[in-house]
Amino acid sequence: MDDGKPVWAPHPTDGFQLGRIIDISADSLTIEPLNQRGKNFQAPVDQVFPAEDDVNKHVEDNCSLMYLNEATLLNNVRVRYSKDKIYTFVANILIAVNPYCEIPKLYSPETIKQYQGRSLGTLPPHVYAIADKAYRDMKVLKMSQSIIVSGESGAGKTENTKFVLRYLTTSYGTGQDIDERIVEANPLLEAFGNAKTVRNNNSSRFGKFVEIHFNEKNAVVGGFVSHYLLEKSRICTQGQEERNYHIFYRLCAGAPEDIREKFHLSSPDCFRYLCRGCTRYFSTKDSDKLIPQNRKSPELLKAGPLKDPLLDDHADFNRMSVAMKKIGLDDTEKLNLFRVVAGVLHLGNIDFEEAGSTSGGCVLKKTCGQSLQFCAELLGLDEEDLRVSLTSRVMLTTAGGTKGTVIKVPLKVEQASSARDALAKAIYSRLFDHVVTRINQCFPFDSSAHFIGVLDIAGFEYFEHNSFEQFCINYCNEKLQQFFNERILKEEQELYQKEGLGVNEVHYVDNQDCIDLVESKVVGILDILDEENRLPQPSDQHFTETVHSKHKDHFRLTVPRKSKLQVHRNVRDDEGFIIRHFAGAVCYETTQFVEKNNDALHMSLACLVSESKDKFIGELFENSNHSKDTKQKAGKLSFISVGNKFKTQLNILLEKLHSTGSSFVRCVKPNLKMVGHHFEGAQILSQLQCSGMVSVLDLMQGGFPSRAPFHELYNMYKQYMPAKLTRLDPRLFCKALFKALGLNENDYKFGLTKVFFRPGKFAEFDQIMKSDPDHLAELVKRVNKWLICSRWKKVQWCALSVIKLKNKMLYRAQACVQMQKTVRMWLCRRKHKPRIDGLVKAQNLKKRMEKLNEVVSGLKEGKQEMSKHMQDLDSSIDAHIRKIKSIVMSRMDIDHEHQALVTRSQELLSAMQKKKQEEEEMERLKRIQEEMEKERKRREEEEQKRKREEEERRQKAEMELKRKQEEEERKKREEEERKLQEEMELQLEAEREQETSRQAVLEQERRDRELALRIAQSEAELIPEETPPDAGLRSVAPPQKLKSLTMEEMAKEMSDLLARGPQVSANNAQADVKKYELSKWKYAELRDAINTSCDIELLAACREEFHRRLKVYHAWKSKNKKRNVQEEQRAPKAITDYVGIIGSQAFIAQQNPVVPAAVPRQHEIVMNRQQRFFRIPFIRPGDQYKDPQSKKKGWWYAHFDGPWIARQMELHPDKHPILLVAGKDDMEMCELSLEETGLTRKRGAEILPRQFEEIWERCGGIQYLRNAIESRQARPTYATAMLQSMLK
Amino acid sequence: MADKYNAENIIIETQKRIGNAFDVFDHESNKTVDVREIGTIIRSLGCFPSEAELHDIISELEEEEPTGFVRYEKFLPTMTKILLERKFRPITEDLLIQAFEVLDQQKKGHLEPAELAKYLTQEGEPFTQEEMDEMLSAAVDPDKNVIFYKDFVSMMTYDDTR
Repeated sequence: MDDGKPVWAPHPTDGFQLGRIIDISADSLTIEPLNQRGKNFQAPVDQVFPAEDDVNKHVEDNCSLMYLNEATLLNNVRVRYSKDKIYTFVANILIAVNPYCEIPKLYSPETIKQYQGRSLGTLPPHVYAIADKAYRDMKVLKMSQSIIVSGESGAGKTENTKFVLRYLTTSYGTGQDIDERIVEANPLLEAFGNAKTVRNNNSSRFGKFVEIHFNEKNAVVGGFVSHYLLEKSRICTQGQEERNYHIFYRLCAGAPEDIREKFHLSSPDCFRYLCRGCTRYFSTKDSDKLIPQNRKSPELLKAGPLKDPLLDDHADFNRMSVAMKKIGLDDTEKLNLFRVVAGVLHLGNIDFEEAGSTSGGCVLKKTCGQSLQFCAELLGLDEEDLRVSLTSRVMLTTAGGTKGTVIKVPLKVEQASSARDALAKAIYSRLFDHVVTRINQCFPFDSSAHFIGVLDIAGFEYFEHNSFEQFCINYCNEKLQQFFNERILKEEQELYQKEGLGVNEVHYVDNQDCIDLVESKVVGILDILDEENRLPQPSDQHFTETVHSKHKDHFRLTVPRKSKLQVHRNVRDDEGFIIRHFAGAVCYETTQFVEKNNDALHMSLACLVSESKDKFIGELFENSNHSKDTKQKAGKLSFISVGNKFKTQLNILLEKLHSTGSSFVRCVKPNLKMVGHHFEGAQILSQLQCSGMVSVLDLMQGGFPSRAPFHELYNMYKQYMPAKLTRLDPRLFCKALFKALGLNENDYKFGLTKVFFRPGKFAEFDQIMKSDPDHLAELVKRVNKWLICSRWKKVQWCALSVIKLKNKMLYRAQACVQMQKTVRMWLCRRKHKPRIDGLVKAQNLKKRMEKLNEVVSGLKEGKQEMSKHMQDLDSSIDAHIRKIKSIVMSRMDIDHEHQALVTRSQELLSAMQKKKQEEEEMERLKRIQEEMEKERKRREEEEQKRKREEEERRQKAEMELKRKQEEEERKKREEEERKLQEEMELQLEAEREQETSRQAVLEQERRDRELALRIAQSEAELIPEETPPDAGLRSVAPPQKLKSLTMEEMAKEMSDLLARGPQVSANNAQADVKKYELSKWKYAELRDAINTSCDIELLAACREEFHRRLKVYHAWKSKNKKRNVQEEQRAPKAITDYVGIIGSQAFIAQQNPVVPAAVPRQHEIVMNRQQRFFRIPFIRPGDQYKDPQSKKKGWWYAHFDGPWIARQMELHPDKHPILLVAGKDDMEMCELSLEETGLTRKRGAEILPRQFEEIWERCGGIQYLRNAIESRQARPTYATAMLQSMLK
Repeated sequence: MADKYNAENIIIETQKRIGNAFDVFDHESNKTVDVREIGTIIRSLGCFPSEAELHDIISELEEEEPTGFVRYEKFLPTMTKILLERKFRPITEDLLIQAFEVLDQQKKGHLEPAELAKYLTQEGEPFTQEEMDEMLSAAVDPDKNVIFYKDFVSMMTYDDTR
């Protein structure tokens, strides 16, 4: 498929591998690896990504790639890593892969100078570029900055942090001691705070936020270090392959002989606090020779020293001493630090045994006397007081009636050992605090304008066994991840929206629920732990039970027996809990949670150290003096919560971060073996996913990560431009520049206050602007030209706008004229036609009267009287006529008066007849009577005509009323359909939401599994995931070997086989079963079934399955299309819009397959062979008015042979017709069934066969189809059959 | 001969209609009417001239020295020609509805009386207030106080009894 282009598909160890898509299943793709032909496998659709055309190409900014997805990102990083290019940008985020070796000149002073003042993207990606960006942002925006260096243990966070600090102090320092001190503080911090772990030889066991403060002139004036969460448990015990803090081994390996003797030091295996872990030194061959044999442990002598390019215990002791001197520590202070460290070691060697007396207490072992002595000596403690304090403790009580009575409580061996360890931890912890305080005193500052803070804190941690320390660290990482999401994703989208760029929204998973689980008031795990600590008898088990009971149904919390790792499944419900972090599920064993959460020594030990004769020790614990009185007054045990203290510190830190601009460095660990040039893709992929880089890619693909305010660009570049251009306002200035430079308009957008660049484009622009003067002169000419053109276009636009407005007004006026002239005519007729009609009738009556008058003049008797009557009537008629002319009378009034006159004339006639019946003039009277009768008939006819006209009007009104009723009925029906549609859409929306939730859960489970896999690879056994056995597919023939066919070949063969459908008539009892399993059939199985099956229902199902797979293919292709490529429509928008809804329905239907009702076979055959033809425009009529300037209107024709399309035409103005036939053009044709397109329900869409055939013939369709048939590329359909019969 | 006879009858009938209409406005019965009544006479005969077209007709009918009156013998041939050539025919119902829809920008299917009055008294060939009131009295639906212009257009069409 897709012309065999390579795609990235999942790989268990490499992350992704190159392959080709060779088949489409229900929800997965069949992939053939390029390097292992024939070894096909299934991959989920959403985990297959298109590959770049050149997979060996690499880019400095990952956003320059054509396809932005996790596979291309991983490949880009891999290719660059193989060339020792360990840094890669993802927009403004720097990915740093640990090289585990020295790369020449990568961090040299020359390199530092190169990066000063350079924008991101102008030089190869480097951590120096991030540092310089932070500096310039601080300078320009007058806002403090933070650089957040994140990554898991061993990824290189501390090294990159040091590079940032060195860059800032070297580039922008004042040249005084203070700059060097900030840099030299690191070796000291690392000596006391770093240690070897399984995954990292120099693992920082504390978090730190180093602030470099600058003055108004943006020069370094001082610094400050905050530290978090030193891992105190490491002081007393370490894992088998791990070590205590470096300082212990550096003292043993590198201390001068006199110090060694004075502090009674020897090899590491002689000390309890060192011997249970790894006792080997880090050293090179040369330094190994310098270490006396009596300082080496048997393990070291046997296995040799540890190797690390950056670590050397012997040499590092000297480097540390030099660093101490540089930051202002004198020899006395140095000895104090070393002495306390040695004291801790000897304290650890004190051991206890049962006393054997009835009190149940314990005593020191005989062999530990020397250790006790050394410890007391080094820490300035009274030896006997130390002994007593370790083996018993005091409590205050008011019992017995005497206040202030002190009771000594003997301690058991276990309790005494805990007390000893607690004391050791307290001493070392305060020593570390002191070191940090002392360091901060070396670079004080009175005031500062801004600071650049560098955050280096432990990344997400998960081991086979995780305890309170890991819990706190991962809680911190959840908070930092949320900050990252807000800063990078949420605020970016808000900015785009505010600036009106119109970028689509990117979805990311919010981890607030996980944070709430830990830090909520009362019900959060930290508060539950504090409550447990306050109980009279706190218990880890009770704490664990409480956590589970309070969060029984929490998605983020579960019991260990549900873990995917065997070692966790053995943990009891009251001994641990599993939290599903954003990066995966971690199992915490709650043993000692309660103890580790308490930062207080019990009273006797606190009193002991506070009374030390040694001034230095006294200073370490001097704050205890104040709390002593409080404790005595309170009369109860003290409790200082480590968890809540850390929470407070963390929130303070986040407040600082939120008040600063942020840059991010994502450190990545390339492999588990800590060796160079070994790239484990799956490990790296998981780290990139856990750090949210995939969401960043989604955002950046449609986003504009570089931006600059108009006035900033104006200020930056106005010096290069002549005055004529600098007079422009900043926005127009920028616009002129961009147009003149010929920048692609897709690469930037103008916001309201800023211009936004696609990734990498700002650097390109910057480079052009700073080119040679000749080029600039040419640019100025182009700018001038653009300005003239721009202004001319603006004038034209204004003129056109005015013309449009005028035309619009004329158009409206014309409409008004039409309305006005019609209404005027109607008003006139309504008003005056009755008058005209009335006048006509009156004049006709007058003529009759004249004739009658002539008759009257012939009479002999009564002539005078009759003549008078006639004159009266004539006068009345004249008056009536004048009245009609002068007064606007209604038709009713006119008719009424006319009728009265007619009546009078009738009466007069009767009178005449009565008087002159005997007259010889009777014949003439008869004639008059006939004329009067004629007049009466005429009036009757006229009245009938008028009534008939009224009847016709009434009938017409009835027809119109009926039509209106039908129209309303249709609208009502449409409204009902619309409501049904809305209900359906709501249901679909709910289903989509459920699906989204389900997908989120699946995603979380996938991450859990991947994390478990990584733990299993390094430490523990993985529970095999129970894969449901694949349902055996019953084929009616033995499965044939699957050929390596292209999709086009498959389509052709499928067409040939499907043609057998109409010819098959027999039934097969197995058809019902197979038909519904087709979605799981492979292409080859479909083919075999068609070859051997004689069931028409099965063949119909195969056709449906074939088209369904086409839809899956097109959906995948659309999702992964190239950026900025405007894909042409394959079907009119009306159909694709309709499919959007139907597609969801089909998706839901697949989730719950329903057996369709049995349909009579004959009816089904008829339905499947019905020929229907459709025509619809590409632009819906309603959309035409939205863009009146665009009169282009295309037509889309389709011929459906039964439910499937057989022929298709696209007619566009000014283009050649596009003809498509089934088989040859399946990839380009509409892949939907007739029902799915909704065409049958679209009014006016269906056309007669003749209409389709006429267009088809006119466009050369007959020849096209004929060629396709002759080349055997057309799938047999009704169209092909008709054409072949015609040709015969 | 038959065709000629029919043509003559048509002419006679047409001229009779013209005469009948003219008489209503011939107040003095002296075969003259006020020039301001010409438009009314023409419209009463079922023609749909715009004001501009009407002015052209009047300028053709008036004497070289305007007297304010039009004589029948001058009016008759001009009007006969207009009627026989079927000039100033009404626009179709669909087009008229479209004209209303130009003002009904939201395609509601009805217009407010004030809304319609504003347009027809200010644009095109403006109505006088009297004309506007006459129209509204016929057009406005008394229950809802809006103009369902499709119904109004249908009503005007029904009355076409030509």
